[in-house]
Amino acid sequence: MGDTPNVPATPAGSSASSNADMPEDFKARVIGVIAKTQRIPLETVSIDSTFEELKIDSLDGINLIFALENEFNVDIPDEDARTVKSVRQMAQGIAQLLARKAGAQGSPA
Amino acid sequence: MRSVAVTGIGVVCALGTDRESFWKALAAGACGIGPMQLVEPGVVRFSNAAECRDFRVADHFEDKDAAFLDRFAQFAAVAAREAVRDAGIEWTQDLRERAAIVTGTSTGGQTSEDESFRDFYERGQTRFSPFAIPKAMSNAGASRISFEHRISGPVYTVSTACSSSNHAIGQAFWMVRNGVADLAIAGGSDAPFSPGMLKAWEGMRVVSPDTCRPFSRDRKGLILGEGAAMLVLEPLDSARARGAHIYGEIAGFGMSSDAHHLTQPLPEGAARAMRTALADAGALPEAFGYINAHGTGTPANDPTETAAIRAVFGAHASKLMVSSTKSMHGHTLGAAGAIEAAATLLALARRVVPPTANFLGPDPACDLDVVPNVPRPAEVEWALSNSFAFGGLNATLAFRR
Repeated sequence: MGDTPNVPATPAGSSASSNADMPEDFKARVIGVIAKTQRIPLETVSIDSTFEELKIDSLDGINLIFALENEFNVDIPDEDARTVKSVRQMAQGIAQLLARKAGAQGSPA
Repeated sequence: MRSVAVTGIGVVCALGTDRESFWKALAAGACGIGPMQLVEPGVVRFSNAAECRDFRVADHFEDKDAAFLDRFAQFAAVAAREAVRDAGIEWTQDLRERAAIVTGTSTGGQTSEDESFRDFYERGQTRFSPFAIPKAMSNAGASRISFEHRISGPVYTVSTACSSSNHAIGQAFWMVRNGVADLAIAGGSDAPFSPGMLKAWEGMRVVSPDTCRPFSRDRKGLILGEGAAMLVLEPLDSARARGAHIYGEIAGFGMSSDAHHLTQPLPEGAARAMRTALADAGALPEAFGYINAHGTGTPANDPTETAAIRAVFGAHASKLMVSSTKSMHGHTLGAAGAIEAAATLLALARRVVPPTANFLGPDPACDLDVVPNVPRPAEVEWALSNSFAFGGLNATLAFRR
């Protein structure tokens, strides 16, 4: 597809919201939602887990996005939803959306 | 076993509220998709739909009747009236008792249900109309058709999501073929445009933000549509004997289940439905010239369907014309198989294959002749029409001219 997803495809090359910039409690919150929604033990999910490793298929992935949208009160666009394949991508995407939301609220009207 | 002819066709959809305007649009490659009007903008992220904008309730129903019928049942009744009129049936008491109606619907009267539940939950209305239940039931369309034509044989409704109509037509076809019924009205209808239902579709993330581009590069999903189509089926011999106009025959029906996943389709399941339809029709793959594809325009369906067609037809797949008319009338869910059966029969009878509209360019994963954008004059003897449902339920009909 010719679109530029808002969620970076790989952590390498992304600077603003790379792993180093994501607070531990934020990552833990994302991981917690994933474990709860997938009904899998918390300790089986890490920031480096891929959806494939966690046996998250396309419908599960959309269900996770639904849960995370509710948890963080953000709207994740359809196009981005399809490109996410790992926990890290998911966390980075949400961090970006939250940053954008905070920026929009902080900017003068 | 008797051969089964189609002698009447009625259609209501975004391309027109009668058969001839439907065909005129299909044969011109016109697209019925546009800005959604039935639900106000902003409720959901997507803004386009294939709505029956020309459908005016008052043209077809008395006020009181209309109030008791959900839009999906109205569509069913109007399409059935046209099909019966088209077939020129002369009713007798015996024929009425020997006639069947089988309809398909995915959402049934959920639009009315959504409205009455909103009255209760949101607006604090504590009393329900006595018609809330019979208006919402999935067989409301089939029952209405039976009242209007006083058909008193087997009448029922099947609901298998997006393959409902193909399952319905297949059942009716087998009843007429096996002598259980001497005439059948078969098809399907759906009217899914309510705020609640659209939110649910939004949650699935399969609806396109622009338009429906089956098999095309840059396709972004399906476009929801509404409507109905009904066919009149009769034994070929008796149709000929009474001098009826015959569009073509339904020659075979095949069903299968992927037995796999709620939403992820399997090529093997789709292929088995097609193979079973071919076997039921007693036809060789090489006899076929056209497939009206399920072709939803989602990233998942179109490559899976392409792989399934290649598996069934082998080298002959490259000689087939395969188009998705959903690109023009949208995905009408439980009505899809019926509207596409009407499109397929008209394509055979009138020797024009409707195109896949909104096509931008090839996707290597969908490397079939999808009749891009331009209708194609063609003599086709045999055709298939595919419907595949969420839940992995597949149904394919085989037609011959």
